[in-house]
Amino acid sequence: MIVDGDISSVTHDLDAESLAHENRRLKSELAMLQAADRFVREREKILQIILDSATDVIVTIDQASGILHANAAAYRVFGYTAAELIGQSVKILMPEAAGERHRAEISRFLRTGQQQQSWRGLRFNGLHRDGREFPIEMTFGAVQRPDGSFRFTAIIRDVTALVEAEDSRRRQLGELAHRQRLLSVGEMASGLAHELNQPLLAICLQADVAADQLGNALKGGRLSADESTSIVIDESAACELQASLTEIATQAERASRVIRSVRSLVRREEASRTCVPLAKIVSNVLPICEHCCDQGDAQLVVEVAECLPAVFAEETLIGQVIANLIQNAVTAMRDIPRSVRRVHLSAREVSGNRVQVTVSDAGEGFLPEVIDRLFESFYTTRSDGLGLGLAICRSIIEGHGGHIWAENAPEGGAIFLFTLPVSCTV
Amino acid sequence: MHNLKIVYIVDDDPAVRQAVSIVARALGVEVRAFARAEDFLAACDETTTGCLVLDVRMPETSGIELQRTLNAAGVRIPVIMISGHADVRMAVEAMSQGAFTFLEKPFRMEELSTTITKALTESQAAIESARLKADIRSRVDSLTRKEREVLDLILKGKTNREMAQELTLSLRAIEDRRSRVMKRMEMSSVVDLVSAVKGVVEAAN
Repeated sequence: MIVDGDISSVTHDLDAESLAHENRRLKSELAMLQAADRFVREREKILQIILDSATDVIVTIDQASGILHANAAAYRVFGYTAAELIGQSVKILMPEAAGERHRAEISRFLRTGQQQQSWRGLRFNGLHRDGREFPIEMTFGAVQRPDGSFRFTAIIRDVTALVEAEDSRRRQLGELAHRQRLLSVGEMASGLAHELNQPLLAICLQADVAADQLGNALKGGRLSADESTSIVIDESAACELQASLTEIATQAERASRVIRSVRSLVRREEASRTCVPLAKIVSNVLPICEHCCDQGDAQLVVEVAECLPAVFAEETLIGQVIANLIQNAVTAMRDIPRSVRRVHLSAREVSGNRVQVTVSDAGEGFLPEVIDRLFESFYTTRSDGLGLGLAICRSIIEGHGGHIWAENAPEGGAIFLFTLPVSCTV
Repeated sequence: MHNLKIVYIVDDDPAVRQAVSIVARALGVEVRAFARAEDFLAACDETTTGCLVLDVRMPETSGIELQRTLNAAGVRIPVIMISGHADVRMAVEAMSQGAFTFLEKPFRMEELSTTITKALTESQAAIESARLKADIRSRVDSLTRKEREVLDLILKGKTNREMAQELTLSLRAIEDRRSRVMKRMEMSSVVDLVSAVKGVVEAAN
């Protein structure tokens, strides 16, 4: 803007010629200023277009949290137009608790000039005009003006979909872990059943035989009549002894049956098998595999052949086997440099009407004597393992009519392979 | 002469081996126990008789594999399979390989004793019938060519008259040969002769 006072102050002592000259100068200056003004307006318009085309909400607030500007995304995300927001406190965009935290943080900043927490990617709940709360992620910035006061800009993103995806993955991981625990119990019961059945059978038979012999001796009257034996037991004591021995046998038999029933209880959930394409099993378990690899800083390479046939299987169980093998592969590479940690997962059709899934790692592979025992229950080469993971994998795969085995890769590292019979073509 | 009442036990678990041995011994039979399938194979041949109590799950050679090897080697001995797993597939496999029976752990003395007794009885019956067959066979072999002709005609159900016609001999000569056949075969009636020789002579032809 041109200030009038300046012009009037120069008009008194200037002649007509210099006045005309001055007039021209002023006119040209005015034109320049007008051009500059147009330029600024143009820029402002472009800036507004940029702001309004952003998918994130961008608001500018003053020191008292009053909204000075908001972009068009505010309507889509919070349900308020920009015009409705201007002059309002930014707190109307958040639930009370979050608003309180926001106020405290701003006043602490104004007092100390320090940020208490990072202002990037803050996660809290936003408040929609309709009263609904939803997760948002906010990045905050402060700008100091020439007069020393501050203005703040906030870039706010609606992360509902992201949080839902994270929740679903967490749920999936939780279910996987739960299933793994269940299967571990089953496998443990099965292993115990075998290990305990042997001594229990021995107890059972020994006690039976002892009771039987005692019975024979009683019938023959040998216990009471034979003076030459060093142990003399009266008949009623012998009868009690015989009953005790029989009870020992009965209880040993019972213990053995209890263990077996636990095993069959855990195994009962095998019913829900369907005809499912192998590619679908792989793609459904992939997020979990990726998560495992991320955790171990390993690269995951997936290679699934096209047009893979379907298998008749319980999808989650086969997925479990794949996840388990990936997890093992990642663990096997703990001690090698990050740059070479690579897990390769592939699925293809093989001869004999079967499909084959292969998981290989870049670890150290196995000693030959270990390879044969890998799938046994309670066998582990890890100090933190129960030795059930691969035993479970074997139970699952063999339960599906398949075969699972391990090899050392010629170029180093371990390979786990399993095959499943093809059930139908899709 | 072999002792017919021997119970062989193959089980890798010493406690089970001992317990089964005690049960078998209480039956008053001889017991031989082995920890490995290979040890039993080294100790047996096709003349081995008695019965075998065999654990299915063993670290080296499994019970099923041993059973297959015995079948291939012509060792005919009733096998009592014992297993800790209620594995239907395994039981079916064992039975189809000709196992005498399949006992699921845990079992009681009574059950094991009864099973062993039955297996031994079967084994003995099989041996008895084999011995009898061999005996008849040797008697048949001791017949002269002419006597054998008559035996074959008897088996075909021919009457003396028909035989006389067929062999162009007198009825008297046929009767003579026939009584010699009966004497050599140690039979007192034609019915006994036919039932004893059946299976042996047909198998020879």
